Amino acid sequence: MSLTRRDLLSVLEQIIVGGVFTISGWLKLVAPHQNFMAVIEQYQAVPHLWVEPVSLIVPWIEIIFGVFLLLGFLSRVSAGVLSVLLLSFIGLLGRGILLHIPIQECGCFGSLLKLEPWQALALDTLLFSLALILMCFEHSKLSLDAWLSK
Amino acid sequence: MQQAFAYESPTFGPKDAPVQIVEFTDFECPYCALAALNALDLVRKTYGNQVRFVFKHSPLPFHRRAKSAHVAALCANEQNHFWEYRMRLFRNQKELNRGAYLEHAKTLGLDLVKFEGCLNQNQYDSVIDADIAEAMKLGVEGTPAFLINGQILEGAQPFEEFREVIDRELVNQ
Repeated sequence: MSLTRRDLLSVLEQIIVGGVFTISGWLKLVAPHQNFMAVIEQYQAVPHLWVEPVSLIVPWIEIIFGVFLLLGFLSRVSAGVLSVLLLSFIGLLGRGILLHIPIQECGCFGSLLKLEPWQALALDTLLFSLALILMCFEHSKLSLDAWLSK
Repeated sequence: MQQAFAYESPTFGPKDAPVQIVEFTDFECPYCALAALNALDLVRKTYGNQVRFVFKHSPLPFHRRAKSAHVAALCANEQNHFWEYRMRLFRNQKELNRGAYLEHAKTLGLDLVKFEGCLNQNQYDSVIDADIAEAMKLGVEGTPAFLINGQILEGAQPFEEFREVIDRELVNQ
């Protein structure tokens, strides 16, 4: 099996994007979901009745598709789902910064790592770019998708 | 250094208040700040003298700046400005350093010589460790956590959760 530069880059991109989401989702799931609810409320963008359902669903999306991407399983679909999430995060953060909404905690990595809103925005923009690239190209030969398609 | 004085946890509200909320918190924990600045503050405004707040120090081991912030708060407590100092720490979580601690003390009109002397003495380790041990004994592992008349709530609970528990306790009194 001859590996191309694209194969190796895809693996790297999968590890970065998939890894970040796996960790982020896991950190939210091991903490009380009320923590993430408080984070969502800060952004003043989600209707109150939706806050709890969103706080329960988003971490599972993060960890499931994060792990899928790490493994290279349903790579393009996983990258697509995470791109949509990232686009919404970018929107929320950008809106928060523009409207000077006091965002105490971005909700990215829980108590482990505190990011300023602009730092979270920069990170999410980078991740979004990588996820878009993963959506555009065929899966890497090193991925689970490649093994399953044999 | 051995603690050679009697310590009582900072409290706010009347001793005979029907509801007591014990707050286990970490000054470097972002969710603790969210809870303190939002839900807890709203509880205080809504219930007034019906609720007594008790503060317990629970800095997490991986928050390297937390313990110094708790010590600073205890130094403010010596001059009866604990609760205002606590709010200033939570509002300025990005700046948990000696310079900021002194600035907060100055803003609140504390005796700076006495405050800085307290910071230098480093005498509150055992107080903080005792609170951490108390949290562990109760099965509280993360922050923030709240003990409302014996019932544990963990995480940055919204005001509605506090209201539900408090209203139930007030009815039961």
